[in-house]
Amino acid sequence: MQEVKTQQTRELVIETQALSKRFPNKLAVNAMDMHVAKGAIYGLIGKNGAGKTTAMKMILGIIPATSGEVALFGSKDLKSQRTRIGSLIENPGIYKNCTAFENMKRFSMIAGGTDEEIRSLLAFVGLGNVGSKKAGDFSLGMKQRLGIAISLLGNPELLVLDEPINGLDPAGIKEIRDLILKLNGERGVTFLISSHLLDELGKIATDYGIINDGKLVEEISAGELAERCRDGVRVIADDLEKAAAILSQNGFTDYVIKKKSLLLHEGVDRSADINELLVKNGVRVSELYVHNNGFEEYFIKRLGR
Amino acid sequence: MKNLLSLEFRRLLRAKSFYICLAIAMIMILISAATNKMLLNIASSEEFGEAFGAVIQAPTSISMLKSTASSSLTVILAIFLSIFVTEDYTSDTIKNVYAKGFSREEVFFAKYVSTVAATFVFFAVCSLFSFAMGKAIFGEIGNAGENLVPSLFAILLTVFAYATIYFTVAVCIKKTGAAIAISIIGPIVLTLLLSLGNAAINSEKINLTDYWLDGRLSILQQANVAGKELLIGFVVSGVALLAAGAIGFLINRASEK
Repeated sequence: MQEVKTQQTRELVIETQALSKRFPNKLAVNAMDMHVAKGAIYGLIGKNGAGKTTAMKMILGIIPATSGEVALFGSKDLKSQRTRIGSLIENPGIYKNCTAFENMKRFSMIAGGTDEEIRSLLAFVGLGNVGSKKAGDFSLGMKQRLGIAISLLGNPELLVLDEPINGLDPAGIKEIRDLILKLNGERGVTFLISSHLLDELGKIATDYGIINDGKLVEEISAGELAERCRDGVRVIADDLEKAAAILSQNGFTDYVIKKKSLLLHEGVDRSADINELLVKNGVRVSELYVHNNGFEEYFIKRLGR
Repeated sequence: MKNLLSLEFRRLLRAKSFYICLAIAMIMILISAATNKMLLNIASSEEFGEAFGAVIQAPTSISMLKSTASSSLTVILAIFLSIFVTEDYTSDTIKNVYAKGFSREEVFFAKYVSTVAATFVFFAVCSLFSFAMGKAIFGEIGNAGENLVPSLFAILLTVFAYATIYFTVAVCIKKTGAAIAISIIGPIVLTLLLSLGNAAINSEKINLTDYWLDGRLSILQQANVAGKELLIGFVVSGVALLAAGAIGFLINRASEK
């Protein structure tokens, strides 16, 4: 059953209602109800082609929605509210034949920011010393940093970042993570971030939205997620179907069979009893151990893989 | 909107292609004037006179000024405007603009204003350069003839109409190479089709090419332009400009890029 938890008690900076996007041969986003609370770091998770980027583009007005509504900062006057948003969608949109400063200068004309602020932002993302090098000659990571610097122009209250750590080396990833946490902690900037790197997202996100085939299947806070990603008992045996039947008969019903193992989401403190139960009923158990259920498995399960 | 115009004008003034294309347009005028001078020298020779008995009239500053909007200027404009207008689409910087709350209509308008400004600079600089080259190379300012100023305005409007067509092609196609190709080849094909139409209707009274920008330019560049021809020039250019602009506006509004 699909579960969508709303966060109506918190002030929302993004709220979508039945937001949909239909391309000629695909329903890319299907009646999405998204709720991003003020001050949150909202991780939008989904496999490739799930509709993450399309949803972000509709929120930002880069592409029009087929149907549904978007409210930003509690207002439907999207034109004025979008001036409060910084964004980095897909590849950074930069003028390749211009320097980093000139790129920033151009976008500062529509987003705001003085020359001093531009220099400060460039230094902040580690591009303070690139001089007259053209952006087209930058490495992928440098382009990404420039894209992030552009998104920070005008002191936005909300940052929409689509795969912001793509192409960055481990040090760069940490810098961006620290930057996000700093902006969120010190300035109260809200983030909507999509990423394939669940571990990285897990280090910063306060809320998650799980999107699958265009449908937002779940919104969940980091706290709730931690609760759900509780430990379990993994069983590897010769006959998993038989093991499952025995467990069910004895009241253990919260389990999944995946590949060559069975993961029981209960009875963590009764692993010895479970082992005895299976062996006594003729199941040959080769491995049985308490398994820590990580974010990744939870998301994979929710994405129906 | 003001911010968007500032961005477009900064892009324009910092575009290398703007200065390169402008320089090429001026070089083309110089080459054309130099070629004319050489031909004139040949035509003035005794051998040529004996052979052909022709009298070649030397260009003047005025005649060169009126011929500024030659095919080379419009072709160079087609190339520059295609590069300039499509840049935001090919580099994907347009999403940064839309994401700041600007509508497609505002972006279209800002780009069109900068296109018109660039076209005016091209026309003004090349006109002045042509005039100066005419005086420097041929030594004569020449006779202003009838309706010089109105015909210059009509020529300018025709150039704006061409620029609007190139702009519309670039805004709709959004790819530099294809926009350049269509902007250059399209008008040539249209002129050929109109010539074909002329042959088909075989009428002495109607010349279809006179109702297309190319044909109008040829008439407007002549020494003395009659009032009726001026009026047709303004109408043809005005209709072409409005039609191209409207088509571009509607297609751009419907576009999702």
